[in-house]
Amino acid sequence: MDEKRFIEKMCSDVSAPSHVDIFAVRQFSIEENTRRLTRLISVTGEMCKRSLDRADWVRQTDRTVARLPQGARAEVFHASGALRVMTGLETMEALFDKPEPRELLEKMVVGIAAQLRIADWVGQRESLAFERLWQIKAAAADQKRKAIEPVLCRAIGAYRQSVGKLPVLGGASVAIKVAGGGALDSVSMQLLEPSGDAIESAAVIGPDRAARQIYQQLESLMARSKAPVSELKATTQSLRMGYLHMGKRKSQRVLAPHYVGAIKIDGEEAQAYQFIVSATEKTFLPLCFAGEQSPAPQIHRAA
Amino acid sequence: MASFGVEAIRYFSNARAAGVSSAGDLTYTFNRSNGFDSKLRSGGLSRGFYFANTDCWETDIRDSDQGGDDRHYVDNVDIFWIETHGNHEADGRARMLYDTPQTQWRTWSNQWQLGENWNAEWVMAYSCNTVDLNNVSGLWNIFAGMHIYCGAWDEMWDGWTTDECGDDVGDNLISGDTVSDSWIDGVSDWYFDNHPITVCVGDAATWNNGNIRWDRSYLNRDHLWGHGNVEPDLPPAQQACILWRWAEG
Repeated sequence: MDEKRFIEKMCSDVSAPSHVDIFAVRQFSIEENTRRLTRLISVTGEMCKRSLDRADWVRQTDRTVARLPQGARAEVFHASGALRVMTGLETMEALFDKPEPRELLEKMVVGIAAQLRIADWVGQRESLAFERLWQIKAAAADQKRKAIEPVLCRAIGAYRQSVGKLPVLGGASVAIKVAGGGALDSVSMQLLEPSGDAIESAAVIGPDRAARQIYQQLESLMARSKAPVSELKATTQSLRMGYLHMGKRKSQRVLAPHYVGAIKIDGEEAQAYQFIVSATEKTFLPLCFAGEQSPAPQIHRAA
Repeated sequence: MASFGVEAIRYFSNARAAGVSSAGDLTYTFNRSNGFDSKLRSGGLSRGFYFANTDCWETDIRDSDQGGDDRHYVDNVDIFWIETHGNHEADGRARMLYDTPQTQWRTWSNQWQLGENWNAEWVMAYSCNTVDLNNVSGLWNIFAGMHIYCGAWDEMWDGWTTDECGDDVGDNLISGDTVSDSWIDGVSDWYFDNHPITVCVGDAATWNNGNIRWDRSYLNRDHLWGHGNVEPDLPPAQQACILWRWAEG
């Protein structure tokens, strides 16, 4: 696919406003994060009708972990305030009796989300919307390759936070993992709370400029190739614009818009790349597009 | 003390220049593998090796009986993490790409035989498509005592939202989650379509005439050494079934 076609295809179903508000992100101290986690543990215990009050708290470098009764566990990441509570179900415990239609699973997840009162975790100018249902399944076969029908182990409902009209892109803002019988397996949250009024209204670059930058990033990954990028079987999967969540282990000071592009390439090796481009002229987030390097090289033994 | 090994390939310029593959460089390879390395060391495991780029050789996972040297590398550590490009063959064999032809540019899983008389319990491959979901049995031969292969049945994304996957898998392992959960949860951000799968073998009692005793499986019972229960090795003569667990969106 040549550059022009690539850009056209990538931009075909994305629109962008001319300006976007930039917000400071509320920062939490470790003590505040511990209180937030305690709150999530409490509502989880209430929902599961289990007492999760007693906890053994262990502070680690990047997170605080709470060991809870009956194998349950909870954690909060210091940098971002991302939270997770796991109720202690075994991996292959509480399977679903049979495969269930997606609609029913979604309904089940939505019902549990209501009991967990996840909407209480976002402010007035924010919202949380169901985004996608995931499923974990298992199957087996004997030596004659006779396979059993897959069993449904877990259903996961992923929710997306929005600030104003823009989604906060990144890992699921809230993920609720449900076991058979509607039992809660885990709930995780990575929400960013805008603090105060907008600090700036920033002009947004058009999706075509973002797509061109993505094409250039893709080209840079293919240096010395005998096949030019235009001859690769590249499929543009999506281009979305939204605020960016930088991840659980990174401290993030502002909410700023970015384009997130996804590209798959077929060939001898399957390839799947996600590219991120700032949606504003001005840089607000210190993203390291180069990635980390390896530790000091360990010399391989001689052949 | 349990040990681990890491092989991570970010650059594929030699393979491209040689016309072996059109695979592009990756970006966040070392974010993931450094994260895994750091978490496992903090969990008390010793690092057996950490090779990067052209220091990763296909002979490191190839069985010693088939011209490889797994007894000193992949089969000499308890858990092995590899990141590279991958795919599978029509017969279900996994294959992965290297950036140097130690003897070959790629590895094929029919040349792996892990756990044999040696050490390997778990292999984790952050690599696209190394398991054929319609022919998982094509991997059976790799289980010569090894417990679980953690891979992907379709794409695994290289990008900003998956850069912490190595930390996440490592955190899960040293927090006492099962190996299967650690992988599937750790590499999933429930946003981008990563396609994790964990594959293991089981005995006749686990197969139970097709009424699977999931509670007996490695998927349910295996944890990292020092962080929970680890089931005994299951020699090939006692293997009656292959079991797998995967996430789909």
